[in-house]
Amino acid sequence: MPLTNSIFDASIPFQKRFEQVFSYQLEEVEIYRKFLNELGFSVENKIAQTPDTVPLLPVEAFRDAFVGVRGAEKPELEFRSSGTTSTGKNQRSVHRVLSSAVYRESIFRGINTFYKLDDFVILGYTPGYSENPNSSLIWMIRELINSDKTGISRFLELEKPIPQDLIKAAEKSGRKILLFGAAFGLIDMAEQFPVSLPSGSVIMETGGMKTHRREMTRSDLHKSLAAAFGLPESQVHSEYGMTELLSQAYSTGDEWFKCPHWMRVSIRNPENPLEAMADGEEGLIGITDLANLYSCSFLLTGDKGIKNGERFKVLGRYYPENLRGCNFLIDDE
Amino acid sequence: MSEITKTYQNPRERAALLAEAVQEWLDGSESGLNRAIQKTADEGLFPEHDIRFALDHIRRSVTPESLTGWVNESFKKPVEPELVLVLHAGNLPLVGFQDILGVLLSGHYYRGKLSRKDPYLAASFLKTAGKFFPNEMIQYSTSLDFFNGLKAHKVMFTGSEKTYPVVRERLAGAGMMTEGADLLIRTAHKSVAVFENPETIDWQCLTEAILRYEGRGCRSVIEVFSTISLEEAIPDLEFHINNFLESNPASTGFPAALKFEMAYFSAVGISHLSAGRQLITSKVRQNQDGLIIWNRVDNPRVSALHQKGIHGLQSVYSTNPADEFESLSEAQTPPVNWKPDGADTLSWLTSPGTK
Repeated sequence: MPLTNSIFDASIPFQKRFEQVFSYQLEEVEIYRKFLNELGFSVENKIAQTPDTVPLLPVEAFRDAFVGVRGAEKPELEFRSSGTTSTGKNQRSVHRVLSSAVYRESIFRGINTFYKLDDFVILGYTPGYSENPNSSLIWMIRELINSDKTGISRFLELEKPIPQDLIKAAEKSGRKILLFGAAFGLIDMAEQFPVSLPSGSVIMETGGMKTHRREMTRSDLHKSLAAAFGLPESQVHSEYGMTELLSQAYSTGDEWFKCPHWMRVSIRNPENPLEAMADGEEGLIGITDLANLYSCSFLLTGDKGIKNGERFKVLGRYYPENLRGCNFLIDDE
Repeated sequence: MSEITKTYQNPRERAALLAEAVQEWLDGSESGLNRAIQKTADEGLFPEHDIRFALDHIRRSVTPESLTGWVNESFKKPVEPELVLVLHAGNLPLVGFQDILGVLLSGHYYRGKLSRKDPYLAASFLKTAGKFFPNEMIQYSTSLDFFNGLKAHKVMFTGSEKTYPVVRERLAGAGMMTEGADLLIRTAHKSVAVFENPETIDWQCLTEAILRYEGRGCRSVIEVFSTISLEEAIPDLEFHINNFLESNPASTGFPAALKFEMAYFSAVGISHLSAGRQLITSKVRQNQDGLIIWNRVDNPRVSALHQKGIHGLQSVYSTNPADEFESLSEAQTPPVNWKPDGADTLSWLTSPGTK
């Protein structure tokens, strides 16, 4: 399939790759085609789209239906979400990944866009792959760990400190540490087992703020992590990804996320998700992820965010104002 | 603000006067009500059919007997008149009319901040009421600044948890209420209906409960619990919705956000049915204004009782007279003494302060 090569080819203009994938998915991804038909879009519209105009399929489609091209019913990988939804009901999304090679390519090309992977030892403070084979995040960390030729990278034991000999081995190899973990796991680790990491190391927080037992802003979280691991705050970074996406965005020292070149963000109007918001205006985070070639590349998340050029900020979950009832109070401003 | 100098008659006398005032106002010939209706409809604030519906309901429910009954049931004890600031919402025509009645029945002094979304209807009544009650008992404005320095002893308002601190700060900052003012805050924004037996579903009542006022009231049904699925319900629902919309057409087009949801539901195969400016669905992707959820459950009563514990619920309705729930037929036509957020307004107004 020639598209698998071209989606990661930065020498091809993004718009061209975008149009190819849109065209392909309009033909091959039945649920997306149905969705577009229901919205009144026809095949003739397909070339005119951009990341800010393309209709975005809600990510809940991965929970409510099969999202994929023909053949993806028998995938190489099958990822499932942890089950948290905006309505509080425990229903999991399923992402059937037809080609593990595409996901692998996206992971490595993506992280290498922002980090020189060979400079790092990868540590994962998450459940191991065997305990959670359906997590796309854990699969990603496992791939990163396995790619380390020094053999030092590994999943850490939960609720235990980072072994000193591991830190020493990383230092001895001349590498820094790239520590992955969910927000709540990292903060527990920071509280129980603070330790100084080698200079230049990076803490990679992968989200999960909403499941933590305490209220904490991302900024406070990063401050606490930096203090506990003996690093400047600028070394606490974040990854933005989800089961439904095969690409990740990274924030590398501030609150702004940046995407690899095959991924784009469009902030959409919650009152009309077909409309893009202007830079600086809050709305729903929409993603074009060309690596989702065999599922759907044009997705609307339930996250609230703002955009500034090619960067975006995640502002938490989007909860619509309830306009029912007597909620219109001081209306004279 | 004028000083409070006297009480005015006893509550039963006030009930009789109030009923007379309401009657004269509804009569319309001199009260300016017809003009108010016309302006409200012409300016697109509310559709005329909803205004007429609200007025018809007031005509039927606000009578000398109903007001006296409310006094007998809820009037605690004669009160020293105090200033009561009522902040009216603007989601329905004449929303908060019961608050006006309650304050005037209580003997307190009504200070009403009317909504700019509904500036004419209540004002036309208050003008008429001013002929029956002393001038100092009634003052109103659509501008909140009008009440700067009021120092109200009691404040009634409806809003959300989110708006409450903002409102409180604004009122306190401008001296609109005393430091220890009693506050009656309503936050309910939804009601649900429960049907244990499909035979007992009153489709017409249910349609009215969902569609009236385009679902904007806290008494509007936004969730149904039934032993039958939405798919099974659609033929009856559709018939009654079409009937309703024929005489009560939607004020504006179908919201874009719901069009988007509808496309999604169609694509993934989730049952749904458009209903005026709302959308009934069997499954929710993301909570959205205008979405009505139809739940097929094995035990609707248990689900409904569970709902009772959820914040923001106004009423649970059923069509079974033996139930402890409210009657579905009264969803949009509650008795004069109904209890917003479970609180009896007159009782609150005539009870010792809770601070």
